[in-house]
Amino acid sequence: MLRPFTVLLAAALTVLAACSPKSTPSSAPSPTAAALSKTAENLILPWHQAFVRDTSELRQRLESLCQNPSNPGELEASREAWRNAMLSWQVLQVVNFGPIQEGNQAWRVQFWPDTHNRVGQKVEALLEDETPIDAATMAQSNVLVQGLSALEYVLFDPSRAAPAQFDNARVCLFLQAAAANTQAVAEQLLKEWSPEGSNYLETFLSPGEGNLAFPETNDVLAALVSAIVTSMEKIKNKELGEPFGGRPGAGRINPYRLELWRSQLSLPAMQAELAANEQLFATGVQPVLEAQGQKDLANRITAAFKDSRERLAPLPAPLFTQLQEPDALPQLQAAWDSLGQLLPLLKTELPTALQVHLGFNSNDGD
Amino acid sequence: MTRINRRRLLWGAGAGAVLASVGAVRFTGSSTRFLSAADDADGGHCLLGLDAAGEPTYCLPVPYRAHEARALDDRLAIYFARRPGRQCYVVEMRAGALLATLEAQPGEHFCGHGVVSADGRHLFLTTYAFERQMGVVAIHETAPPFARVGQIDTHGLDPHQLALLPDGATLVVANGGILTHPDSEREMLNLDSMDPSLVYLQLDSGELLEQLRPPHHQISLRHLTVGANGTVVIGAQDHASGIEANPHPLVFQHSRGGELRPFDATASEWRQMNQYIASMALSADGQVALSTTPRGNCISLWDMAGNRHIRSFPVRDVAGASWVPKQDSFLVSNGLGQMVYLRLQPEPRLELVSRSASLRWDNHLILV
Repeated sequence: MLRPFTVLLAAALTVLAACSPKSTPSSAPSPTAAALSKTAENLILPWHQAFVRDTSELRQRLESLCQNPSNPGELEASREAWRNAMLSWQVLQVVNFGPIQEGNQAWRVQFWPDTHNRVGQKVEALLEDETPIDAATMAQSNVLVQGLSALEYVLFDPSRAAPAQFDNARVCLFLQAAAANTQAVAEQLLKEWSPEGSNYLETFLSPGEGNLAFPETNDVLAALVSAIVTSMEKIKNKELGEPFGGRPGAGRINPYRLELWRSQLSLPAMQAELAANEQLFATGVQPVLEAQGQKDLANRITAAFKDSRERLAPLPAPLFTQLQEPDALPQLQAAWDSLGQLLPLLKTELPTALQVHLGFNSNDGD
Repeated sequence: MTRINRRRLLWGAGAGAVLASVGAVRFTGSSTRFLSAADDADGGHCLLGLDAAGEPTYCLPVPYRAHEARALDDRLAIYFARRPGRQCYVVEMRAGALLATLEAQPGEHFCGHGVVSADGRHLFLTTYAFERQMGVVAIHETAPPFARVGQIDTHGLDPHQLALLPDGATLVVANGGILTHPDSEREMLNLDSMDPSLVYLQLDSGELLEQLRPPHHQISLRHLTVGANGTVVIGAQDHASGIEANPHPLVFQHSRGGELRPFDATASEWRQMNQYIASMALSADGQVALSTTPRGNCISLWDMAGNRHIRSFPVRDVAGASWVPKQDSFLVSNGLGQMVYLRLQPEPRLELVSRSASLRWDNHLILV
């Protein structure tokens, strides 16, 4: 259903662009246009390419695992491929606008928070019944079983630790179908950004009156800043706060509330997501701030990102066990406080300085 | 008259900056075809009239944010206070001037919506009597001094949008079911015990004719519109958490005496709407409904006879929606200052109508 909309919109935009006077191209692009162009070429497109590469690798590793289930190295190689794909995803999903939003593709890749273990229940139910499993049926299935979260369950859950399970033909069918489906999502997202595909890249880089998504350059900046704020709030409040019942040292500790507790990838995932935000800011936003004479704010945000990165770097892993260690608490609290310093800069000072608005009706609640 | 002119001059000076980037600044000449509230670049609240081309005919700064609006007659429009606001503004459309303010009674606030009676003599406003914890439809006269002449119990908290059925004698009201108190602004105080409902009320007696509840108690029924045959389409905002795998339906239709029917859509289609519908509109022939969803950045078409989702189109931060008979199209507005037609013929497509760069259109776009 989604493909025709995009095509239709693209067609509508072409018509509109043809009707509206184009601004005359100048020889040197504005600092904002240059920053956005670099963001797309150096970050967004490579992130999508990396996700395609890593999900393809994962699919191949899982095929190999299923062909040689008794080979002791295969399971670890598959798990490593899964970790790579998940870390690529942690980076890519920060870009929460455009193709990823159509049909909420993110849920197909990762289902979290999952407070009632529905991923586990649904995967078990699928493995027990006799319906056919392949990549095509997988794409139409419940999102709980479609992507990396479901694969994490089978590859890492303690109840499925025995390598013998990979002798089971249905388990293998499922692993390969979910991996192929995730790869298909990755390829689709890349295609929608690519000039060879739906070319959302051009939508992103050509703000103007005829561009429904981005009528002004500031609207592209708003989308970027909004993506960074959404992601950073998730890191602080959900990924770091929720396992502590709110914030470190505040409530009842529940390590099963950690993102990626099964694979114990919680901390690397947070670090990768934070790094992606820092890069998006440094490439897409900081040059704009500086060009607008806001060097002081740019420096403060850069320093705050660095501080958060340095507070997250030495945290003891895996968080799954370290959450309970009293000795680890001061470091976790310091990371929390650092993120707490960074967020108001991003959420309040930055939009004010750039004169962008992070959604009006979407924050209405009425 | 002198006062109105002076007011307009004062307002005109302030609004120049707002409208400068609109291109054609037209405060007179073209007549007002649409009403909407908006925020300006500095976050100030404005009441606007728009002409048929989507360009502002007036832009009136006000202290409190408004929500929906209605024309009282050819001359006057009323903009309803956004909850928990206590002031509705009556505007003289041709002059673009504030004529009067309708204040809520002590212990009550307005809920953003209202309708005018079939004979044009009365206004029905959804109102929350917070001291009595009771949803009511407040009945006022449409002529100055807009006296309160009665009220009807809505049999639920948080009454939001309402409409008259074609018989002119029955009101349908969406009770959002959420407990709030002005002391805590818009904070939701009863997420576990919410009780949203759709109610039909007899106007002359206030009698409750029918009450229907959604399939889950956290599906807050908020916005609705009524077709010429009396069919009601309802858009909801869902406050349940952790349901992304199996999202609740958000759009329903109902005819008197029948079931409250959720439209058919896939989990993926519901998920795209992010548990939040802002506005509902219906084509004149009653065959196609439209919902807007700012959190999912899309608008969706619904087949009334087939009771199913047709397709969705991406429009960012979209909320206001209206059917425009002369264009045979839906018109939607958004937080980027855009007005966009969704044309149905020859096949559905989007078409940008206008853009007011410094304005963020608030939810609800009303055809005068």
